[in-house]
Amino acid sequence: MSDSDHDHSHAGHGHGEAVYPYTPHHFHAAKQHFESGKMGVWLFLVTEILFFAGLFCAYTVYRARHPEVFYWAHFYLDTTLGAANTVVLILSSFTAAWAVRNAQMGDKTKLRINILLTIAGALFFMCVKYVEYSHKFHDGLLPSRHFHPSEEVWETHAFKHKHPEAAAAAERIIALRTARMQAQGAVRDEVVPRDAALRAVPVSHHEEGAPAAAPPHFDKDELALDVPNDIWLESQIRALPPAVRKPLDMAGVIHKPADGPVEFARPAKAGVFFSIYFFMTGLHGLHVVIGIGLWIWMLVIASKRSMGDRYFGPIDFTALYWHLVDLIWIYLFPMLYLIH
Amino acid sequence: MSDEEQRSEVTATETPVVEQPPPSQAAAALRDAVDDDTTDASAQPEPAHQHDVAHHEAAHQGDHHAGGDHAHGADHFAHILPMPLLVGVAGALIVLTVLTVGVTAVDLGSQGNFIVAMIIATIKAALVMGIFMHMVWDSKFNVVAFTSSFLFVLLFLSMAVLDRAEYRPGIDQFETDMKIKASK
Repeated sequence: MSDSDHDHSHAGHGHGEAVYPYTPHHFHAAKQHFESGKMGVWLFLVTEILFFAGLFCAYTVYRARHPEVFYWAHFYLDTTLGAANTVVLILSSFTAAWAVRNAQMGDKTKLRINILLTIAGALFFMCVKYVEYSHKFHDGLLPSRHFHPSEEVWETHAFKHKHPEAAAAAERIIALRTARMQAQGAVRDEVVPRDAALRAVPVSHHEEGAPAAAPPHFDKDELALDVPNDIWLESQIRALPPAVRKPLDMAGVIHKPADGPVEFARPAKAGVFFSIYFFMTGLHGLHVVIGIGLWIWMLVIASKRSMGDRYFGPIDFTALYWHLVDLIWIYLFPMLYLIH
Repeated sequence: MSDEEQRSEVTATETPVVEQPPPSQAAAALRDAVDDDTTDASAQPEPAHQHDVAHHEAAHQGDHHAGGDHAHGADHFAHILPMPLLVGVAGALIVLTVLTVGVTAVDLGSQGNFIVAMIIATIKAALVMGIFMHMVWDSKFNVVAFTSSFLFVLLFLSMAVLDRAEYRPGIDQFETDMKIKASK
């Protein structure tokens, strides 16, 4: 009880060993050993939350300023794959929590099975991520200056499925505009000068080898070549029924700046969404990869050491980290995939 | 049932490890003293552990450190979640995921849908934190430390949003300037 007793017990080094084989001698009991580790993990998780907060902040600020970009971008994301990943992460979180229970009860076989199931869930998640990312890469949906989408939003399957009339109307306007510009001789080899009267004409990146779709032939009355381009475009947009126009407005395809002619194109700075998307999902994916490494380590520890109700810290702490990765995905999924 | 059996087996097999080196009188005295301290300091009733004490005392018959209930209680810190609870939480999380996907089909306005999605996400997060992360049974310090991080995130986001509103005219002007510059 006194200080001299305290010193004596530590000098003997017998105390720690007496408590539990895996408790280092500077802890007086297995409970203290466990609780100091646990507190450390909680504090680490606090730093993780604050780490991700920077990206959540970027998301909030950009979405508040450009809601149309988020509506536009959500047509490029596959909700089914996102939902599948959510379910897989929930299930692997469940097996992680189960593994903690197994460790606490000293059930080595079940513990190892549950760790393996957790790793399997993480690998499945990364496989789905690979499929998603490779589609994005292929479609030119990349961050910043690498952003060159191969499809405009009205050409995407999701948009056509949700707003078939708006997609048809958009394609007609684009076809008419291309035909007009060809008739005016303004277009050569699909390259549109930035300062053309009709600016921000989307440049199609057709797959190499595939012949560019021949523009349908319109008669002279439909082209209305005597009307200036901006007035023609505005009249076309005004002619759209409200129900057809609304999704195009929401996605920022129809944009009327206060100081210029109406624009019909993908929203400006749409690529910023994919910067946010790749940084958020990428940082989360990195955590999943690190989690796989930690679980493999835990598999080794679980095989070498005997866990019990007084020694299960490593499994518990890894599970805490794993639940945090799940927690972040629980927010990322509706924020990125379920934009309405 | 099998869980209880398994656990008592575990405790029984571990008992020799505890008993191996006969602890010195001083060490035993120290342990009792510190155990008293920790029990007083954490002073958190852990009703879920009550049933464990019987097992523990049975398994530790003849244990040399006659510390009484305090020492025994302090040794038990594992909170084992019952299987039905784990399965129930996992099921609830999946049901909520299906719900949050399904609710996007209903038009509640751009704000409304986002708010509903965030509420569902927060319920899911609460389930994961409370049950899977054992937060309901964790020490107050850890709970306060972790939840305070959310308060700081909220502070961070609200300040950023306020700032954005404050500087909006400047940003608009900048974007117009950039456009004019690009078209020249």
